[in-house]
Amino acid sequence: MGAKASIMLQPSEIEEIQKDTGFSHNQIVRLYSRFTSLDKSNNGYLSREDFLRIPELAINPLGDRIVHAFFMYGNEEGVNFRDFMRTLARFRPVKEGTNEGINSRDEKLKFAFKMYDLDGDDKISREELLAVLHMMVGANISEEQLGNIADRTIEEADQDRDGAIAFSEFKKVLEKVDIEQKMSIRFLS
Amino acid sequence: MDADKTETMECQSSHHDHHSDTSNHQHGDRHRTDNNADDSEEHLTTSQSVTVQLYDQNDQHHDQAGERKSLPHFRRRVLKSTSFEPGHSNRLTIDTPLHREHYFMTVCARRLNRHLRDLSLSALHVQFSPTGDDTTDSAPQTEKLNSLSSVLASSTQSSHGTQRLFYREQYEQESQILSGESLAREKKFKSWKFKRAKQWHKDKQAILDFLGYFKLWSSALKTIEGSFGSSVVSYFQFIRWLFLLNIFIFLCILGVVILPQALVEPKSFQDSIKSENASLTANQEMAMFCSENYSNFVKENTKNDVTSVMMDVFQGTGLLQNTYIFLGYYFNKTYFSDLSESSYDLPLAHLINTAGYLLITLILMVRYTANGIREKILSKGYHYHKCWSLVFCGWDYTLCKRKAASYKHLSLRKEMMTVLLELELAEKQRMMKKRQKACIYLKRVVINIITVVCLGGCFALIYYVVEVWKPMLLETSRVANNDILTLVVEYLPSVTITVLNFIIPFIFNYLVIFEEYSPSTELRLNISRTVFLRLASLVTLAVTMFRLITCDEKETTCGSCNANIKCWETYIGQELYKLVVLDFVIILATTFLVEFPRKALVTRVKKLKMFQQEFDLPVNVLNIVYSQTLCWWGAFYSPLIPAMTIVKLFLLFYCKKISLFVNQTPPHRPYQTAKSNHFFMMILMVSFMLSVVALTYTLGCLLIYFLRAKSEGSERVINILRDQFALLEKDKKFLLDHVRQTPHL
Repeated sequence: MGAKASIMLQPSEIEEIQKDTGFSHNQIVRLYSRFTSLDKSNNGYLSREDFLRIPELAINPLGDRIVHAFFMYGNEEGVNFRDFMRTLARFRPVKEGTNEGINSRDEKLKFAFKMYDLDGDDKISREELLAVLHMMVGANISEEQLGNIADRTIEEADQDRDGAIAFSEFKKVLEKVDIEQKMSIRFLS
Repeated sequence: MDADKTETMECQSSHHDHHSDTSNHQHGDRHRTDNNADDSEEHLTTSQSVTVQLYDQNDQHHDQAGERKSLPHFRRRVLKSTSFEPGHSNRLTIDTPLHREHYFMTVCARRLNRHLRDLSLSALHVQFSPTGDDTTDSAPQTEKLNSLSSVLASSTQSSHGTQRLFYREQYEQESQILSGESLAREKKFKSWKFKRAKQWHKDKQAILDFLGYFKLWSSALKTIEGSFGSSVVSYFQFIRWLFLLNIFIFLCILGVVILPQALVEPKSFQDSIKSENASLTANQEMAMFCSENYSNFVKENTKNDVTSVMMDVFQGTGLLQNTYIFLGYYFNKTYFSDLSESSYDLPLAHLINTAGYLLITLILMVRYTANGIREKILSKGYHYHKCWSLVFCGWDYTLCKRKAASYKHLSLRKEMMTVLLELELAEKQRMMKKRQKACIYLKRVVINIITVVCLGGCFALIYYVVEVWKPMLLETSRVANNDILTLVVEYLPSVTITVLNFIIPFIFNYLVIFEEYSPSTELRLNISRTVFLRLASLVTLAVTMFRLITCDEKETTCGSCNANIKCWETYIGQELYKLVVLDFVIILATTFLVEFPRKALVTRVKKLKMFQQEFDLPVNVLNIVYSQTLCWWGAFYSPLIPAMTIVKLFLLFYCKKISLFVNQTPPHRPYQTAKSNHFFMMILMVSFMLSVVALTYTLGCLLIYFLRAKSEGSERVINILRDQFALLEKDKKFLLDHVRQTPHL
């Protein structure tokens, strides 16, 4: 059958994805066309190079980590469409008032949290913050100043004084940010 | 006939599991075509025909139905229509020269799909076998076939294709349930229903795509966003919003005021006051006399040579006074026919129109702000100066250019340094002794006093220029009969205001350093002071003009206090016209005469690197708000000012965009987008309120008099006021004075 396993999108698949992720039919089809346009080698899988071909991701300091999040569901050689959709399920535009499972505010924040928490211990430590700051600011700022900023961030967020930011504290700090709107795909129709 | 080279592909997949081989046909090699869809079509010189072979993979349905269906003609090419027999491989031969096929195959594929769908075929294989000469090269032929197949696949693979497929599946499932005689009827109904649904989806998609084209400037905004970030693009979105708003206002004015005036013009002023047969009242006779006076005056002062015409264009006097630009030109009532009493009451229409579009503008602005308010209420305080917001929310994900990313890194660095600085300052202030604190408070008080004095000086200057110096200089220039001097003197108030608006913010920026506020407070203070300056200078101008046209003397001929101002609405219209023109000239001048040279200077001379200009968001926004205020205020007195503003905004968008890409770097201070939009709207609303107040002041006076008269039951005053309303455009000043005097009688 060849590697073109998912080259054509079958309606049964669309239904399953719809049940899994909650995207509408049109949205799935649109994301599928985006998937195929990214898949330059036409083998039904997206590799890391395919992802990093997106200019916004390439220049993003956290770009590598974001791409890594797509590969979380297993297959190291590539992301097929199902896994692609499963990761994007968190970015579905939220309808007012509903609080569905994979797309809730909590899940979105969890996704963001995982970007910063590299070692997966559910805490963002000072070193991890420093790593993020290094990537965001680049050169031209001294270690001491970066350290000050990291300390100040932990000070603002940390409530139980353990020197690291846990997920609940992370949530509390971002409670006033409009995550539902910012972490959603903007479908134009 | 069949060539050995065949390419087979699945055109539409069946609902069976495609891993299993249910087909019992011979297919040849079933290898996928791994070609790219962007094969360029090469012209083959030979003409070959292509056979499209259609197989039905899924036979059961049709065995049950047992029908024979036929494929209709393809009108464009020579085709043989075949009847489609289930269970067999049916061949549809399409004779076409291959080199025309790229377009053709797309059309062909679409039609194929449509017809096959109508026949409710669930799975097909489309096989391309070139017929004709085999003497040509095999390699380009294979390539050609590859590209053909991919074209066919991609066109059938479109979203509509899968959607249609989806509906067909449903249809088939449902049709399986029905049986018997009702089968045919139900099938027909269901197929019609699904056809409607499909059509509706297609239409909806088409409408949305169509509307997408009307999103003005969307591609330009996207490029700006990619290179400069969200805060700069919010400025351009603001321009776009105002542009559309002004188009709406202008259309309102066009429809209600300008068109009737153009189409149904009364022959003389007399005709416009009354209908043919009625006689004039005393007030109306007076009005006629005064307007005669006015038009004579205008005629006297209009010269016809070229320089005068140019001067008039810039000053809005003379020849322009008798055109659509100024309110003085419009007549009162336009009677539709000589005999009837029905009329189109232009003054009333103008008033109601103004009120109407101002109200709608207000509603639109409130709606725009509503989203911003929600965010503002939910997020207390400016949290873009907090560390966690920099670390977690600092990056702008819409950027896509590397250069923009490096600017963003720099901006983040600056922000972090600012935060650290603020922390240090706070620390220092806490540690400060009482004496130092008192010192700082004293400094702040002094600087505030200086600011107020500065502002007061500005207003006094504007007052003197308009009330004292301008008439004086005008006299001398008239005596000297020098046109250029007249032009300069006419523009003196506008120039004064513009110069002040330019210089004073620099002074404010300099002074605020001494106050030793934190950077965010500093920014807020600066912006509010500049806004205050701009709006207050407009208010001063308004007040000064008001003083010029009203006076306390008992009776003046035809109600004008000043011999030179015969028609006060036109006078105000002229002043505003001059302001608008000057504003436009200044914007162009700043862009081309200041920014471009500065950029050239900075790139050539390395030492001047510090003068590198960045896009100054608040200043630019204030400029736009200022021009919009002039537009709202002036639209009443000079109906064509919105049109001028439309042109101005259009050119401004492109000028600013060019200047941005060539000259400037993104702003270092990251303005939060939602807050920026909200912030601009608040400033816009304040200026809007100002224009509304300015406009309604005179009308409010009238209203007060009217109400007072009603309550006193004074019949005479009511009559006067009624006439007053009827003669809105010309020479109502004297009536107003009349009215003011009557209560004393």
